[in-house]
Amino acid sequence: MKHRRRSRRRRRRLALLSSILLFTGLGVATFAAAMSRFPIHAVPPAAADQVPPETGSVSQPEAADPAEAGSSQDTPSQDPSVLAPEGSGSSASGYDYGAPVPLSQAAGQDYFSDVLFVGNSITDGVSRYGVAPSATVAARNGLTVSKALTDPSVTQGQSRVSLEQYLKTHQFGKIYLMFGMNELGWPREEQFIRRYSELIDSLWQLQPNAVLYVQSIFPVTAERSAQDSTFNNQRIQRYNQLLQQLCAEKHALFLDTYSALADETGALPADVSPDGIHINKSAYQTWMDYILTHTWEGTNP
Amino acid sequence: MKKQLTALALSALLFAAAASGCNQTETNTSAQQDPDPAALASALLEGGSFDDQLSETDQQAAMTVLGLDPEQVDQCTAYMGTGATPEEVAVIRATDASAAKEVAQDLDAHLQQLESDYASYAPDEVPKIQKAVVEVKGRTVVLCVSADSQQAEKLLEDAGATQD
Repeated sequence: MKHRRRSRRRRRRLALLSSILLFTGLGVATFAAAMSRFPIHAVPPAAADQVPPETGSVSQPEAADPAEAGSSQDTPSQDPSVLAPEGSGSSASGYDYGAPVPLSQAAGQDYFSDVLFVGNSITDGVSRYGVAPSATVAARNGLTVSKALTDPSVTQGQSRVSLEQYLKTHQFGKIYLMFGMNELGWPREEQFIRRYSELIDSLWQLQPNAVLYVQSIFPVTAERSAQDSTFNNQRIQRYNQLLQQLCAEKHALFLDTYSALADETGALPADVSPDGIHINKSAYQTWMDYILTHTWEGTNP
Repeated sequence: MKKQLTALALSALLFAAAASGCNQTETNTSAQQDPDPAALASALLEGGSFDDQLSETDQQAAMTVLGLDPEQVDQCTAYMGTGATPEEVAVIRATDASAAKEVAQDLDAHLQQLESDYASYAPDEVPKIQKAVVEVKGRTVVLCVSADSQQAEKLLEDAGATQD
């Protein structure tokens, strides 16, 4: 009798110990999974069939400062002078946010149905030319990164509403940002990056399920670049380098749209731009094609 | 020479439209006065004076940009610039003459918005907007923001697309 009681107690103790170990193990596993995603917002680990990074050229900054580099991995497409300090651009999942979004399977036009474009006069052309008819465009001439949410930029009938207002009632799957051309004339580049960072944070709060792409600033023509102390490709490439670094730090997706339009000299082809900065419809088609072939193919967590 | 040929082509176009309607019933007479929007827009583009590169945009995009009510529009052909300038051309065939007047009002509102956009962005371009041509004749409404509004007006007069 005594023996049976002892063995029953022993079995109970064993069962209790096993339960404690099981729940502890589950808790540790959950915690580890959560930490591997932090501080990523909406970009998951790459899918197993993700196309490897392309080996084409990435825009090469002419005055890169090795101390302000962007990527933690030495990929064939990147100039070592833009590499970030080791580890700053990679997530625990291994995706390098300091590198541009690589080539992907080409998406169809329906990809744009839950896309929001945000930007200045260049982005406004997306709606003006109807090159992505199902997308929503929040853009206006002269819009800057500091007023992107508050200035009226989304057309509703005959009026415009602010993006902040619009996003209260509309959710998007993908957001494409393009700012910088108007900010090239700002006195401090740090101000541009700070405001851009704040915009990204705000958009993540307003659109927690959206995948966010930061698009690099387009090049200007060689002629414009040679004669303009503000709108020139050296300054643009410097700003793009800073944007790439921002994406590495914030774990946002960097889309190398500069390279999509640049010719072999790194300039915007003269025949697509009447003023050296703005682009014609055919260049918009090139831009949209680049977006459709450089999409994030992972799934949101 | 080029402008004269363009005016001649426009006149021939309108004459052909009128002549082909001679034996039509009264309900079709409005069609004689309404030129083909695509042809007229193309002729304005060819004969007009523009600093920008204008490209044709699809009807839906044009109506959104111009702030038009699709219920009032039968057909719309528009050419838009790159954004470097406010230059654009649009020829709209409204559902009827009354709708055409409302379309013209919508275009005036669009021009006000355009002027507001360019006032701080590119003030040198504002005179083009202030001198923009908006003409209504029958069901046809024409908008032309160009580098030379007088030239655009003359082209339309020669084509018979302005109100008598």
